[in-house]
Amino acid sequence: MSGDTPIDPIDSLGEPTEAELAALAQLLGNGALWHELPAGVEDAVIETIGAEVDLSAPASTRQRPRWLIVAAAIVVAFGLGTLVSLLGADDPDGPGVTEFALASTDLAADATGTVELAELRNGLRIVLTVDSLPPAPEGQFYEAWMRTPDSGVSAGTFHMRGESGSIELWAGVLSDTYPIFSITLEDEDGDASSSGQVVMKADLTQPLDD
Amino acid sequence: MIGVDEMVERFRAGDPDAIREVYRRHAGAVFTVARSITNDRELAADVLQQVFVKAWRAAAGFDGSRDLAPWLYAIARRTAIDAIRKEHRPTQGGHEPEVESVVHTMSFERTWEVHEVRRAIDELPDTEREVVRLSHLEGMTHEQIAGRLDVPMGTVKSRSSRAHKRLAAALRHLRDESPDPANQTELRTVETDEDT
Repeated sequence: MSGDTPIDPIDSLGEPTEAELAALAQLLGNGALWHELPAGVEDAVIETIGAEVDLSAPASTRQRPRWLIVAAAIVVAFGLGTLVSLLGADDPDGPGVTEFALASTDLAADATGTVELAELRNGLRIVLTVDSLPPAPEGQFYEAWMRTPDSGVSAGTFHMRGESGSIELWAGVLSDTYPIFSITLEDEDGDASSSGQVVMKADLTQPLDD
Repeated sequence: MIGVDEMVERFRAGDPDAIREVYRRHAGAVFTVARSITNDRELAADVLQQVFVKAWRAAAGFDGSRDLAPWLYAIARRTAIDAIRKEHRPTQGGHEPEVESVVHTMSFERTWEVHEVRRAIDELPDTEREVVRLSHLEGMTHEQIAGRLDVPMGTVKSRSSRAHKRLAAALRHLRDESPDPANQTELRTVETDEDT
């Protein structure tokens, strides 16, 4: 009885044309279409997103291990003196300031300057003192970077269209792990990556008073 | 199976089950795009992970009534191209004058095509997919496939016929999409640093 036979949806698709079969034969031989998914990526995605969800959740909804609460109590009880002494590090002229020489490249051959770093509670304070670095042309700007040989973190932008002098910037990373400081000339093109046009640089493993 | 609207809503909220569901539906196509652009399995695996994390971060702005696939495709293509740019800047932290190099990437239309073909392949029943793979990738005859799978040749023919019907129907929209000639070849300028 036809009424008892389930209708297979594939029957409504119609037969492929010769042209379609030829096109499929051409497409389906592409090896890139048949690669198996790499193992572990699905779990890595879940873990990464899970960690960010946890971080973005209100503090009251996050579960903390009991040992962490105990450790926090110990820090509060015994660490106040240390905390008070650290507050003094907000003074950029305090003992935490280290100065480095800025070397120019061929792109700004006459420029000279120094960079001072101070590790404060909320980040790395950077004070540039530069001379003869030309103003960035319209449509361009300078960008400071904390770098390793393989990657970099932006430390802010400026244009030098005023007078030579000091510029204060901040970075969320430390020179221990990013031992190179550089300044690049960037286009206002919406591309956040470095242009590679380095105009000045400093080796943060070689302080001036060494 | 979760409906698309509900799945997107739960995906946005970081529900692990919804993330797995989205991943399992789309990872094959995303990985195919990443492999096609990077030509590197390890790099493509990194891109695959980044795409789904980026998609989750941007999901608040996604219209849940729309198909996820084109949106994920756009993220995948951009992420893979960015990965190539980084690979071509091996001395990013050095301080060198700019040296320009040019990277040829597969056109937008071609990567969209492989994305859609992989989606269609992934939606085939396992038994039909295997027949298509053996036939088109390994170049086996129906008789050889029957021997490999230990099934009658009629079964192989039937699976092949059904698979090709499904694939032709799933990919018919590609014939109607007119490619933009401006995107046939995309050139990317890549900056690299060099020591001075």
